[in-house]
Amino acid sequence: MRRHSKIHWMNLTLVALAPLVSIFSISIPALGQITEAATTEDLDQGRVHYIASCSRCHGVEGGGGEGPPLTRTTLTRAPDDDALVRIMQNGISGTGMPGVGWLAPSELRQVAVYVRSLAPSGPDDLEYLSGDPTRGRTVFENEGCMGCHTVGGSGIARGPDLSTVGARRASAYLRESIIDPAADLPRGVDAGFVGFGLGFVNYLMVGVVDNLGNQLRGMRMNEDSYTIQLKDAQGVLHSFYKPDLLELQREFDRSPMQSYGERLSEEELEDLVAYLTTLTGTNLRGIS
Amino acid sequence: MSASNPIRAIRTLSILTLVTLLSTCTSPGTQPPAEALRPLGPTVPEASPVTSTPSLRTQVPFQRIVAATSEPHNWFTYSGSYFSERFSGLSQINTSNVGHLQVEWAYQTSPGLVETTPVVVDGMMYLTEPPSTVTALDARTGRSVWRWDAGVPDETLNIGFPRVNRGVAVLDETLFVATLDARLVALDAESGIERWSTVVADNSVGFAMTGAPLALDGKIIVGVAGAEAGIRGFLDAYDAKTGERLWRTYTVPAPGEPGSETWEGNAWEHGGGSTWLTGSYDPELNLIYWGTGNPGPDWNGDVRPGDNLYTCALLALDADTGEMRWHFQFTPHDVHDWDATEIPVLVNLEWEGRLRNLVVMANRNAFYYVLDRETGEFLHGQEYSKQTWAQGLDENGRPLVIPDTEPTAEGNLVWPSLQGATNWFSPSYSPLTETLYVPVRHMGAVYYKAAVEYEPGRPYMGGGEQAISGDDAWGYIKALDVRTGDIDWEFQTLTPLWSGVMATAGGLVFGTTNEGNFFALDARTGQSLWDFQAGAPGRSNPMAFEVDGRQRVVMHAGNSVFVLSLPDGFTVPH
Repeated sequence: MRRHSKIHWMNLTLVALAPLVSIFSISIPALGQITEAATTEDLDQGRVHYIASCSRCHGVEGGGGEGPPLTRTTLTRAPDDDALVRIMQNGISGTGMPGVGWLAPSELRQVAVYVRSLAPSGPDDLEYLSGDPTRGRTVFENEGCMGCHTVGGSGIARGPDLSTVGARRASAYLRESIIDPAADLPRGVDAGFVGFGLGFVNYLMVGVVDNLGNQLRGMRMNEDSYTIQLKDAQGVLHSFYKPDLLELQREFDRSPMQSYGERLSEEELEDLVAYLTTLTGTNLRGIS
Repeated sequence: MSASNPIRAIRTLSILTLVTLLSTCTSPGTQPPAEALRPLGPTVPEASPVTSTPSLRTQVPFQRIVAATSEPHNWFTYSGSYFSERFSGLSQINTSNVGHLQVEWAYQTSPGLVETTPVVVDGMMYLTEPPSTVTALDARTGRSVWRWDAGVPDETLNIGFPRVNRGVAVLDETLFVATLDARLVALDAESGIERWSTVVADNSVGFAMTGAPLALDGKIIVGVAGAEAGIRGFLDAYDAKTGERLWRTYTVPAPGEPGSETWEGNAWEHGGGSTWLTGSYDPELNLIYWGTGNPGPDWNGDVRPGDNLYTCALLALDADTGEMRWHFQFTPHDVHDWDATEIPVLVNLEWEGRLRNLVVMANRNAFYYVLDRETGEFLHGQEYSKQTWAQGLDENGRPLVIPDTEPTAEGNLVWPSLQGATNWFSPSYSPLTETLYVPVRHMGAVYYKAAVEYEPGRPYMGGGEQAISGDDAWGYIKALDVRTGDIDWEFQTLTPLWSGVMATAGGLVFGTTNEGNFFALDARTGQSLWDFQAGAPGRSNPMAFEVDGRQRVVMHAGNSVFVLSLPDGFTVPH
């Protein structure tokens, strides 16, 4: 019933901690009061806390993954350090970014120091993508993606809404999700570290057999210690009292989404990835 | 240790006659003469939900706490008794009728995280709200009578833990609360007026207090948090009348003191050893049993070679002097933040042919321990939850540590996680089943080590963790045979638990989950007999009381304190 074999985030390549960066505070230009007072220790500690609390989604070196890359000179939602600390404290509603309530304000400031250190010293290093977003949008529409995904309010919302996916996911993650959707199922972040949400697989397929022998497969919408809520292929919600079930199978190695690896050419794939990265929520109109 | 000792006699009597005696009357125990004319119990057999039976003015002399199990309608201490069983002798709600349990009233606390266990005295309930507020409620209706705000400054440091409070202590007509900014305050129970306030320690260097104090005969025992800020821990006793400090026992020895050979250099100055939960007390031996927290810094042991006494240990202290009678260290040279502050439960049991006074603990390090509480002798220990750091325990109870299980710069996966196989939330011991019920966290973590320098009032941890989460971690209520630690049954929960349990004379074990489930299990089988979705995470310990002949169970979800009872037809008239 439970998956024991594979723990996704363990695949992260973790590089050695605590590089001693000398005279860190003068190596970053034009930062706010947080980094002006930053010390090497702040950077080291910030890196430790970052790795423990942030790296699973943003990558150890900030390259992104399930979360967006942080290796940019300007972070869209955190133009200054106050905003950055506020986001870490409160999370970003409606996105995968949780509040990091378990870190003290002083520790969040250290994380901010580390996050700022990820910015490139030269020109911005926004990922270079070979695809064409305009063609990618055509691929998106022709392949029927909106049968399960929504963008800007259009489509059928069976799978994740993609209106802001470009701001939330790195391109490598998007590419992998198109080719092998089950490789890294998105994980929930809705609750604090004690509640349902954090770390739970979203869009998990679950099969149940009730006490009358009826079978049903559906996507897990929620679960507690006594009940589970599944949505079937028609979008209808079913609720079960777990002690009454004869069988309950969680299918961690499957995704409700089929692979598009065979259906798309290399070029189409890159175009589609390029299109998805443009979906940042800043220009939602005009998609139908 | 003669069986004729009056305290022992009271305890024995109370256990033997618990069910029968207490379902027929609500004996108030030792009562002050001034209250003699007031009605003591319910006068109307079929009580309506709100009756006119007045509450008594709060008067809880020491002897009444000693005999707490003879008054199961009240709840005098954080863990329900000096033995910390968190066992309710009430049986009106039992395995046959618990399915009818319903919410009677709810109280909404101030914003923040709620980890309080209410104290209930003769119809009055005293609970704490975040961060350190004390509220007196009418236990029948949940309506507040007075409220005292500690005025904790916003800039108060809480390094390594949230801004919570776990409850008050009561002695005579006074309540005692430990505040987040490290003050011990005495409040008049009738009015909430402050009687005295004593600064226990300096919050600006990271000392804080979140636990419920323990009231003994004329003195208040209170511990501190702050090992994540590099404090040197201690346990204090204060005069209940004046707030004057009577003794202080450090949990980390200074150079030259016993145990100092387990430290090197100046590491002891910031050696940790917090005392942030509430310990237990044996009135007969006059010994306090109190667990100690992790050494500082948490995950980088390089700066503190040695066993680091008396961190991650159970201490037995003379209640009059604070003198250490014995100690038992569960995790020498801890590098995983496995505090041993968990509730030490005192049990009197036949052990290998003779009656022995024992103390048992389900430790955060995933091992269960049975010790002789007179001598500290290790009698038995074994794993009760998944762990990957020790091969077992040697004949003295010392762990046989597996090499290469300490935190590293690259990260090292070890079970349990830093929150441990269990944590601050309480276990419960039922003398009826001789079982210790333990809320368990089945969860591992990748531990990281980093360089760290001490700086006053700043985190002093030296690393971090990345815990396994979501579908890869879960929880249990486990029923441990109190003698062996063998698991009689286990009840699985969706996520690793962060809330305690309470067993009752009704044959039930009550608890809550992070997903908002309230539940009652059959104490003998673990079968779930009742559950209720309360809509927010439970992160407190259940307790129970009775007023007007009606048993109530108290459980928490989010900021709501729920009081549950049976409908009229199920309450037994007296």
